[in-house]
Amino acid sequence: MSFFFGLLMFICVMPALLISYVLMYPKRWMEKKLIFGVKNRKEYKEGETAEEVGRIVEKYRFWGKCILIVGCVISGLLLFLQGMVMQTTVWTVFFMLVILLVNIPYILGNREMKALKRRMGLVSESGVSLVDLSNAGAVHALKPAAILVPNICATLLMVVSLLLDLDVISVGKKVTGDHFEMTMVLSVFWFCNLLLLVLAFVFDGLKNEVISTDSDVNANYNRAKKKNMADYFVLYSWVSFAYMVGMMVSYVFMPSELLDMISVIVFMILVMLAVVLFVARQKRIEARYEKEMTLLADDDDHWIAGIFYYNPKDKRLTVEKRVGVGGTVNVAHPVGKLLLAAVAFSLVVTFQSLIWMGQLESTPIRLMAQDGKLICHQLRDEYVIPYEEITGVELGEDIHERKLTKISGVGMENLLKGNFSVDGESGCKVFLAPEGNAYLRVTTANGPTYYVSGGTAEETRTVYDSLVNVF
Amino acid sequence: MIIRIDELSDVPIYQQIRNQIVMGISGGELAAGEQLPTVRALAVEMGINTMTVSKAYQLLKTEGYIMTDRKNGARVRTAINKQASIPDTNKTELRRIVSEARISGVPKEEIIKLVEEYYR
Repeated sequence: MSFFFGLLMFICVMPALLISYVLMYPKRWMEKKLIFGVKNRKEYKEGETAEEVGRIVEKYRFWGKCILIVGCVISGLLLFLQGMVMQTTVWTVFFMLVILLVNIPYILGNREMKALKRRMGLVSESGVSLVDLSNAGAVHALKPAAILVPNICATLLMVVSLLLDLDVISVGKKVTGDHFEMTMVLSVFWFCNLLLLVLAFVFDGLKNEVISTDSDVNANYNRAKKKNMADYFVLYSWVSFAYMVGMMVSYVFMPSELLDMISVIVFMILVMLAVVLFVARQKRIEARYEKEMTLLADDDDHWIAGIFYYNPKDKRLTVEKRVGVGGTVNVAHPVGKLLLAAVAFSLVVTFQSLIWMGQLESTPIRLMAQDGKLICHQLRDEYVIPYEEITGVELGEDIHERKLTKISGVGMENLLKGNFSVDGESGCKVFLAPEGNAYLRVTTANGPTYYVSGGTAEETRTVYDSLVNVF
Repeated sequence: MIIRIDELSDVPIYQQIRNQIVMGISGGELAAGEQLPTVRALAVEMGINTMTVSKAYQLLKTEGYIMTDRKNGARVRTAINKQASIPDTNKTELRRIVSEARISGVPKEEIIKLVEEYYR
């Protein structure tokens, strides 16, 4: 299972890294409209300047390539990591690090190009924008029905899942646990679909780029780009819906962790293939219109490091990206600032969660019988069960013989903690290290049933012996 | 027709829109009866407030260059009122331009050539 998780992360990280490299460091800079996020001007293509620009491009392209190769090698090695927490932590940190690193030569290239531009006395047309009056608001490629249908289907599926979890309808064996596990898992994909539905309409409404004085060229160029984007969103929606159907069938008729993991991997491969296809088509469109790009607004000064768009005078929230494909937000817009803060907050939360998971995995749980109480303790969590409430204690050898479904709390390979459903009995409190350990089943007079253990089988048995002497 | 808007210019944006649409009509880039984009679409494309575009359209409508109605939006007028005279404000502006050119040593023929080119 651990290998499959690594494979899943590999499938997510590698295409992201490759696509970033291909889009940031193109080969033929003379034919591109941007060089490291700076508008490619005819002045750069002449004489000694052309040599200097070529040197800048080659230098940072080389560094980008080095980061790509090192990233690929490390990704391959990470496939052999063991332990879910270790894998999650290392892959998450690696993913963020490698995406940040692959951006650094681009940012340095952007800085050097802007310095060259200043040295040459070239000035950006700051505040100048071009609009094609014939195409304003008229170029769209997204057919609302095409993207709404898979989303409506996914919504209906969610309703069916909810009815199954509520036992309103009954199909197959329904081995989904008692606590909306299936609905919760499906809702993640459903939510992603809804998010992409909104993004699809936002991207379809992006400002049309003016590349030529010919309105037909502008219309065709923008329509081709928007069509490519719309096709990707529609394809993703259908793939995601198909996966939701497969997942529901799996939950209801043949639940298997291995099957779930394999299906997630297949899903991710399909999604990544769609991304690669989308980027390849985008590059073809750009190549097709390269020679017709005679008119481009130079707003380099509004692009921080060629990545972040900052223009307080622009009322638009979303603009087309300079690097990559799709759109980005205007970080000078109030909503853009909020979104940026949300991204920063989510990064902090991610790192905090990783630290917390590391602490949970490395801190052994303690089980003690003292002062007339049974105490389970780890970090800040503590269960205290007074002896007078205990009605029975049983020693079990292997918790895996029971079917545990997490309702809330922690469900890691080596730690189960929180509210669980055990063998169909809901509301049980679990506090145990499941691997190679014994456990205690403690029933209480009016409270829940507890499944607890110490950090080792020996500790659990010692506590059991002392409890048996009391009762 | 391509409109070029300069946010840092001394000329207000609504005036820039108005001027360029007028030039478009005069130069034949905007034909009589041609549909103009909606106020909202143009504002979104330019990244400016809808009120600014609305003000430009209102001005063009008052001056008789475009017509608007709820059903069809804004269109270039098919029959623009031909006064056959230059308004006083434009005469003053033209005089300023000619004076500046004269001080700069631009020959009269050059100015006439430009007028002929723009008038074509």
